[in-house]
Amino acid sequence: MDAAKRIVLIFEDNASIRELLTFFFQRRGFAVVFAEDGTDAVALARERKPDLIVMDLIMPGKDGVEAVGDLRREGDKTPVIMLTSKNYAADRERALATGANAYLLKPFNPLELDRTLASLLPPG
Amino acid sequence: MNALLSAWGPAFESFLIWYFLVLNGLYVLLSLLAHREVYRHLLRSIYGGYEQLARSPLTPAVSVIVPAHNEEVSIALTVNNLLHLDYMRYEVVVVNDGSSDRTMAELREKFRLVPDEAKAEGRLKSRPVRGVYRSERHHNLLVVDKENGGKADALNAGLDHAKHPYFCSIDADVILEADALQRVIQPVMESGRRVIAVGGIIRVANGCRVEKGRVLEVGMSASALVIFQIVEYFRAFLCGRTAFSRLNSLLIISGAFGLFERELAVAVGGYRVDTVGEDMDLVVRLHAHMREKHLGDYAVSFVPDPMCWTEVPDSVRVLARQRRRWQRGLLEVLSAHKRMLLNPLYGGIGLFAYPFFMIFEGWGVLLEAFGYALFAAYWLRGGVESDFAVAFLFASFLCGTALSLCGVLLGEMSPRSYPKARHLAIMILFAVADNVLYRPLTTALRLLGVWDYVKGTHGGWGRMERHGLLRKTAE
Amino acid sequence: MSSTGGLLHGLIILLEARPSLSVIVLASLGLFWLVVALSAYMLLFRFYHSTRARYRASRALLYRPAVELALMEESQERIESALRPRRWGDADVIQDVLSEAMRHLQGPPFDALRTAALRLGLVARAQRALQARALHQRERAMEALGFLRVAEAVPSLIRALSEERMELKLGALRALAAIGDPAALPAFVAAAETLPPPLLPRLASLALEFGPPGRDAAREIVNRHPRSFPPGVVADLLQALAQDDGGTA
Repeated sequence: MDAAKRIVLIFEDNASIRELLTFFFQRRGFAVVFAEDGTDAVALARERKPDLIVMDLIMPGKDGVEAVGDLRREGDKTPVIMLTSKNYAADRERALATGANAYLLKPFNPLELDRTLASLLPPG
Repeated sequence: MNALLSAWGPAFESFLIWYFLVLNGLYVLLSLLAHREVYRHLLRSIYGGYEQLARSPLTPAVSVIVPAHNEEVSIALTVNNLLHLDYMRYEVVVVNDGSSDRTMAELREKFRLVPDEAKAEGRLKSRPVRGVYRSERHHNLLVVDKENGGKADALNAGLDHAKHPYFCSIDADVILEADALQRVIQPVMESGRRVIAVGGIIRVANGCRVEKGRVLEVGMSASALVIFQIVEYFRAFLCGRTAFSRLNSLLIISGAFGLFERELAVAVGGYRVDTVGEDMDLVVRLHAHMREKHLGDYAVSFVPDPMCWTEVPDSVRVLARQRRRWQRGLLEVLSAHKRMLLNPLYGGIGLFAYPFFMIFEGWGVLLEAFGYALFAAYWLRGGVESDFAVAFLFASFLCGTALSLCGVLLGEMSPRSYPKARHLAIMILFAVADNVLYRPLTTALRLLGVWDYVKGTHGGWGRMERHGLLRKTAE
Repeated sequence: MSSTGGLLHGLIILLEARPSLSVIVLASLGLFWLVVALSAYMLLFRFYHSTRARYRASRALLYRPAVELALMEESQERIESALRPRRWGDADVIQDVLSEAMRHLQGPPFDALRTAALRLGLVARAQRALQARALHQRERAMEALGFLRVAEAVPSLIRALSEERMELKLGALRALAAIGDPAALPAFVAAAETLPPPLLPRLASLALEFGPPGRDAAREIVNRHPRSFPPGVVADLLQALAQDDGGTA
């Protein structure tokens, strides 16, 4: 594996969305690691040391908000993008309040994600 | 003995045969009706717009009420699973029914409970509430701690503290699918009629691969008793209840999982605490209320998709307790609503469903038991060639087998069916053996239940030996 | 006990002038064969469906790379050739692969896949299927048009709103909401007059999917039919609308 590749950690239980995100990030030169729920978020983050985390708001076991809360409590400063549904403004606010850096609406637009990436990560 | 048998006469024997034929025949007709529903459901898309339904602000919020008594083994896992259902707006109301073990302590630790000042509505009576708590970590978890009063009492307390327009009553040991709430609310949102209650099929969790509180892989238990129950549940839910719901005469929604309009349930007085059939009692009272008060067109729906998994008894002892209780509960509810019998005010229920349940499910068990006993007597007397025995063999066993096979067929057609070919072969085999081995057993147990009822037995819910289904497989 | 033996026995009973029992026995023989037939039906059903599912899954594998190509920003020609049907009967499979990907996407990859779907005739196919005989085929066609967000299908879908059965009306509403063309909103408000009252919350909920113009439509539906919206639901709707109007963009 190319040591210079950036790592993205994706927490998403829907296989199709996971696949789409994987393609997107691979195209941009990331190495993709994924999990299906937020239960092991802290452990995984510590183990893989990702440059970016993408998380879905709704997941079995432990959802996005809780997982982000866990990470921030541990002092983890990795940028987190939360995938949220377009219908609930309250959820977006909750995501940001708990410690996500940005949110991304579903259905997801790669252009949006590019813009968000650019603002969160140094060019790589 | 011979004199007794000849005294009854062929007329009575014919009557018995006709009873079995009509019973099984009616059920076969119901199965045909159900088959149409289930097949259509199967053909429709797998998407069905559930996601949009789950995420819309106009989809009603649901209060999931969980009565818990001595559930320290699995309560934390169960509640955690309930907090992560794929539905936007809902709350989980756990009612600790005076547990004597560490149930409350587990909840307190795992969910960081703090006292909550919310006042109950006070419209339903229950045993005194010791305290109400909210979770710091999960804003939609409420825990009501109260003195022991039984399941119905705990549900009433939960109802009193719940705040959403619909509520789901579930057992503390069930595993809900992530999309259970989406699927159960769908008839409410997408029927042309006002849907006041929704039930679903309860699937057998024994033998399935359960991880992190979700059924990941459907599997079949090795226990014969469990497999008989699998066939029975398919038959009862898919053949029976689907059809009754189609006729808008569904009288039973399982206490393991069901959705109801909260305001309506409170208006009819909540659950009755003096019966063990409180789940059926509520549904019947809701029907009565809607019809007596002429509240317009309504429906009680049934969703053939699996939304709820539960552990079924794998020993005859526990099965016996369960079936005796069910039979007693059925008779208690039927007697409490005698006025519905053949009463046109109650439409399909008064004219068909109530008499059906009274004759075939309630008291008909006496005839069934007698039929089996008579058949056994003939057999022992040395000869299955007698007319009665032959006719009985076909009327009861064959018709019953056809029915059980209908159940298995509909089970095949529904989502999350048993994956392996040998599972199907086993189920077919057991469907055939069902009427020889299992039906007589349940008939005997139900007979005991009738005896309990007649004797006037009171009280409760026995102890179900929980094997910690959720806990064990998660570790 | 063989069936011939039973038949014989039934005849004997008949001769002994016990018609009711003989009828039962003979009818029950028919049932025996029904039981056998049911078992066979089940085994065949299972076999057919599992084989079909496996076949479709293996075909889908051939076309999924097209989605990857779209996200990798490859050329339109490459995407289209990856989606071209390689065997008769693959159109259904390709439609499913596209639906599954496109429902989660928007922006350039979505547009690329949609153009491909258009050029390969999948859109026309779905529009034709709106007239299909079988109910479930019409439903699937509506669904496909929704996922593909085919604006040209809006008039046909609006027509379906007044012509079709209940499940199809709902399917049409869902598809229109997925397409998101505000030109469909007046049809939503008009449908509120003809749909049974219990369905109005669903109608308004789907109207909200259109964004800001949808909120106006939803508000209008609620105002015109206040009794169809239970008090709790109306409060929730107003709160949701207020949030989105004043909340983060």
